[in-house]
Amino acid sequence: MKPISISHIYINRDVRDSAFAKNIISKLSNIPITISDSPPEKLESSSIAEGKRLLYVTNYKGNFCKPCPGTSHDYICCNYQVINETTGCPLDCAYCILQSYMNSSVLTVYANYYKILEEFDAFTAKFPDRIIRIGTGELADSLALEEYTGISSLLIPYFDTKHNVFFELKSKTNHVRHLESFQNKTENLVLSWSLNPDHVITNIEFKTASLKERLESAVQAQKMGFKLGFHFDPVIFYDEWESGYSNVIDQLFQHINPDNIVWISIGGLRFPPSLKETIRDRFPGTSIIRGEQIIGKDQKTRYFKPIRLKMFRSIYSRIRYYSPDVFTYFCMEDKEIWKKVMGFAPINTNHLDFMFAESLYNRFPEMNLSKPMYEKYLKFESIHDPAIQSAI
Amino acid sequence: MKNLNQNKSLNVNEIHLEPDFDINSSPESGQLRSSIYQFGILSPLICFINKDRIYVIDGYKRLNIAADLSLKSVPVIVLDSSFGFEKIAKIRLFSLNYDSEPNLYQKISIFHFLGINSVPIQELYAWRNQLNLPHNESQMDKIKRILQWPKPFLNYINKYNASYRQLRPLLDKSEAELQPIFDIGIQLSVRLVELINISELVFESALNKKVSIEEILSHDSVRVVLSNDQLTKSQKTQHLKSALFSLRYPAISQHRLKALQKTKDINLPPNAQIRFDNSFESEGLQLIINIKDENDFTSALSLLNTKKNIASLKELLDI
Repeated sequence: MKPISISHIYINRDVRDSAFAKNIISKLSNIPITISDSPPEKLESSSIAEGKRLLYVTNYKGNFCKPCPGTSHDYICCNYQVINETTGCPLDCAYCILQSYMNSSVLTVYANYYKILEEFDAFTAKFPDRIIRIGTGELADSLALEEYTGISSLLIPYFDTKHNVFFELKSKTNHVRHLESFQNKTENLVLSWSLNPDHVITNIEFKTASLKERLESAVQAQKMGFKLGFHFDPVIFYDEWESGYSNVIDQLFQHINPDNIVWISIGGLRFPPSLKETIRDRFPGTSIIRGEQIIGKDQKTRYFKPIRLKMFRSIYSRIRYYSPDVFTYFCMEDKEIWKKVMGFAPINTNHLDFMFAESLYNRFPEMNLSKPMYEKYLKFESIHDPAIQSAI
Repeated sequence: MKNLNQNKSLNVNEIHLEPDFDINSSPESGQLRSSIYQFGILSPLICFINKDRIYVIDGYKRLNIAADLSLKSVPVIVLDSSFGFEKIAKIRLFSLNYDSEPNLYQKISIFHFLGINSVPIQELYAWRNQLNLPHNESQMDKIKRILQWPKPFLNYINKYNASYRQLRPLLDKSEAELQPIFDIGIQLSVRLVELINISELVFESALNKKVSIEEILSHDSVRVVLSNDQLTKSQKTQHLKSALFSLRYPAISQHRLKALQKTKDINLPPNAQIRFDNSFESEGLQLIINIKDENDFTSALSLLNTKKNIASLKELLDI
């Protein structure tokens, strides 16, 4: 993949003397810098494409750690926790929700990232016996800016000290060499890649690494002793989808030992209907908004269920052909899809969370994880529970 | 007030419509015509002089009616160009704002009027904000194409007071691509929201099938509807939407058809009906039975006691 290109750095005056900002300045020494008291107007007015080349370093005023926003209305989530350590992504996937989700498209990183540690300490204190999955990559690719910010490398040693925790970095890049220093030093780091056929990567996931590069990076990560995750999400419908996805799975298992894979997710393309116009404007002629899509129960556009079923059955059976027991789950799907594809369905979000925990507990005994107790997972107040939803 | 020449009457032929400002919206009211017929024009038209020509900026309808009724002169207030183009634009905006928010054509016309009359760039940005026009330059370029649209298109979007959000799917289309769409809108008196929906079905079907728009609109299922003189305009619109939906969403349409056929296989008593989610996203179906007396109970029981019906219901669930 091509290197990430930054054209200008904006630094909030409050953080200009921080080690975090100084590190970025030293790594991007040829890039013009503007120090300002408040977010420069340019950050607000820049287009999505312009914003992807502007880097703003400031403090974050809200909470970094949050439950994954997931979705609701009969679709099952998994109680994953997200860290929003960066907002805005230099990659340019046509379907990216950030195009409508964020006020500004500028790449923003936060010098007070250390608050993540305080927040997570407080969170885990409430759930000492639960196995927690947490990761970056929600509002930006986890590794795209790693070369300049080093933020993942700052977080890995902290999470390594945490019991019952899996810390996931999700990426569509090949930026793994920055993690070499952690080789065989951490057992709860999960490096994950979103996988799609080359046809999708070339035509829809712009500025990302090719499938070959992603898989080569995964092989490198495997050699470095990291645990691996893979996300078939979003699954995209196109004429040759069946052979395309089958080929990806074949390549994946040719190179990766299933024992090193902690989880594989499957999720169909979904987006708020309002994003359709933005996608059409930014990527004229793209076919992703012209599939046989309906408005789901969560008011998001998604493929017609029989189409999802067909694609998911094909992908799931191919995964099972290679690995009968790697933990495979649906992201934001309903029970009917689970049952018709996998033959069973979690009762709800808390139950899926528990199933994750059981799988991790059984598969990684060397980590001395707490034995999952179903009752403890049922007590977890998921933001997707109807009672919590109505209170938000 | 300086620059204001009041209490003047001008010959109707001396007053011109500013081409970049020709943005009348609401249809002419019969009341206004009747009033002018009986009493003449009571409130003066507001005009301005630009390069020795006098243009109307408030009073388009009155001017048109006056011309229709062959009135020789009309009362006017004439502003000269030193009054300022921004103030002129504001007067036009206020007159448009009287009933509702200006539509996209009106907004871009005002913005264009200011642009060609050398209003400073900072002021133009302020106007863009005030008019709620997008900040994105490529979007603005697309919106400016509206100024070149033929008069029937503009009359249509004026009639329905079309907003940016509504027209956005049409903005990157060429006049040739839009012509058959507006033809449908005008000929069938299709409401704007429905026409946008129809246009999306047409454009997306053409792209998916890699054929031209003409080929979509001349597809047998569409042609049959458009050439059926037995249908009312409203019926034609509904049938047209349905035909286009089948072309755009073949799998969903076939699934619906299959479900409807299965429903017909079930021997439903008159007090019962079967409903299912049209998008097939929600699992299951609803069996609704109205019960008013004992006979209704009996027929409901007969429905669920028939092996054939149970088998058909199961098949319907498994589609």
